[in-house]
Amino acid sequence: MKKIGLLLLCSGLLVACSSSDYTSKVSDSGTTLVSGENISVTKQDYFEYLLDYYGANKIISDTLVAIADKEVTDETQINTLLEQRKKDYAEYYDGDLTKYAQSLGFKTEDEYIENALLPDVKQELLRKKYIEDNFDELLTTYQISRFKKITVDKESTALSLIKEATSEDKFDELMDEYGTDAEDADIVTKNSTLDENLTKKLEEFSKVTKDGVYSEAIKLSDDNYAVVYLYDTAHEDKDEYIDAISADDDAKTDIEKYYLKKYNFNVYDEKLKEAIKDISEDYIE
Amino acid sequence: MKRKQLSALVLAGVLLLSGCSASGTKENGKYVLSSIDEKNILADDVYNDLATTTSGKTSLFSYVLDQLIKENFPVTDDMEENADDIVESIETNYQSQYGDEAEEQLLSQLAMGGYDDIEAYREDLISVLQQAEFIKKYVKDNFDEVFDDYYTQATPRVLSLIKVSAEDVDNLTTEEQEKLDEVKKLLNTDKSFGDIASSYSDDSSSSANGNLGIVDTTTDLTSTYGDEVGEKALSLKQGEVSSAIKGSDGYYFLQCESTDKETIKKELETVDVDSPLLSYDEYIVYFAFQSYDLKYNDETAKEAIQEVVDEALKAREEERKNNS
Repeated sequence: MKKIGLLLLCSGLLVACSSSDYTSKVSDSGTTLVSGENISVTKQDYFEYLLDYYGANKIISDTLVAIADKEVTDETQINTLLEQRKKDYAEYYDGDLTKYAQSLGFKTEDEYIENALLPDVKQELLRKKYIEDNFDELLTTYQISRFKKITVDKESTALSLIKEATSEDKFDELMDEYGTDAEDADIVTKNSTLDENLTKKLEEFSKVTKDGVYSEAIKLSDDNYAVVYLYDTAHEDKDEYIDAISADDDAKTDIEKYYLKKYNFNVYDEKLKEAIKDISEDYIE
Repeated sequence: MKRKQLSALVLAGVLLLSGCSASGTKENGKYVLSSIDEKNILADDVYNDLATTTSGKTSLFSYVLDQLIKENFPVTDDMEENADDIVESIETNYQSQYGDEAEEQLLSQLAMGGYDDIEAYREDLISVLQQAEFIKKYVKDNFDEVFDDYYTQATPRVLSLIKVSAEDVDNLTTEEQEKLDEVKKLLNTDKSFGDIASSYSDDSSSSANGNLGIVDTTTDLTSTYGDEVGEKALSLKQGEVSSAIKGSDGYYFLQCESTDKETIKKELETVDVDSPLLSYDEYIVYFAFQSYDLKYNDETAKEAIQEVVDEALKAREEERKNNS
């Protein structure tokens, strides 16, 4: 009987440990912020509500910014990108960054810069540092290539175009001729939105080292055919490739995982840990 | 042996107990949420960062509001039944529309709305019903004031409708044309609009003599009857009957029975959760919130909540200025 009682006690404790409550407390956690009308809201209640909504993302962001502060120390580089991003986003509202900030729910431009833009800029530079250091490897991993394409409905037409496209200039002329059926896909990764049959070819494209028309007509999932011209296979515009890889969601997560592991990222609150794992299972080992 | 077993159980209990307390890592007495080499992220820092942002302040307001609603308008059997009925009706609709794929389609739609499953949606429905009770109480307690504002802002009117269905509105069949002509002629006789609707309308409202009840700026006639019906409905004067309005699946006639303030006020006297008085003003929740006598034990919290309410009411004022 006693044994059963103890077992129950143990299982009760187990439940208490694995409960959905946060184990971390904010200082003065029991302080009542608001009361009356049958309610009593403590500082801890509010803290946990904030953690529920923003905790996991905040921890990841703060951690990556802390890592960026160690890895990216060139203030000029940070300020240059910050100014560039300010201009970029202000353009959405006729050059008014305050209006853009307000559209995102921030009250002032400064609040937006401090809480969102500067952390984003630092994280972007952190990613770019990694990409720069591992450029060749990432080109293969994310199957990066750069191409233009013309879509036609007959295989015979596609094969004729392949014969005709003896140079980039000639392919550009053909693109003009085909109007809306031609497009410059620019730099693509294996996660870019493309016809699935084109995506299957990316690994092969990424290994090509000489500019030129791809020798096969690629049958697309809608039964049309794509004629592809691969260009800048030497990756001369390196910054543009770095931007493209940096914007790839998988690459972003993989790079973040690398840095979090490198700096021994650890989360001590189980509930928060689970929420972070929900963002990416691999952020925490 | 028994003693050993007992000791093991006690030890297990102690370990479990220490496991619980050990999960709270601290630095100088303050809880650490996470760490990387040489740097701890403290609970206090995260709290201070989040609580001082605009979204953090809005969160405090939302949390207090949520608590007020939960504690003062607890879930009732009626709410549960209401939510069950809605869920059942949705499931039945999906079943009849998608057959074997109903569950998959419903889950996909729920996922788009941010719900994991129908149970999560049901829970949300119940919360919405609790919120409706919260607003309803405010509306009841301040009926005259709310109604006056509603009458000014939402241009309510009692409206009736006649529909003459058509397969192709640009190429009526002889039968459709004859019916349309007959309705037009009858509208020029002494026969009442309601009687004509009852005998000739192809809309489901024919059983109520075409009466659509109170229609206002919050009523969505457009999705059922088309843009032109939606627009015309709010521009008719009392007693006015529209000419034939071409819709997507037929021709419509509208009659504005009344815009009389007292008539409409009487109609809306019984405030239920479907009352337009609860939904015509998206900012009414802030007025309802202000009607509660809350005690603020923390000046920062008081200022944060006040700021959120003031900003919302300022936005309401600006919207009204722009719309006038």
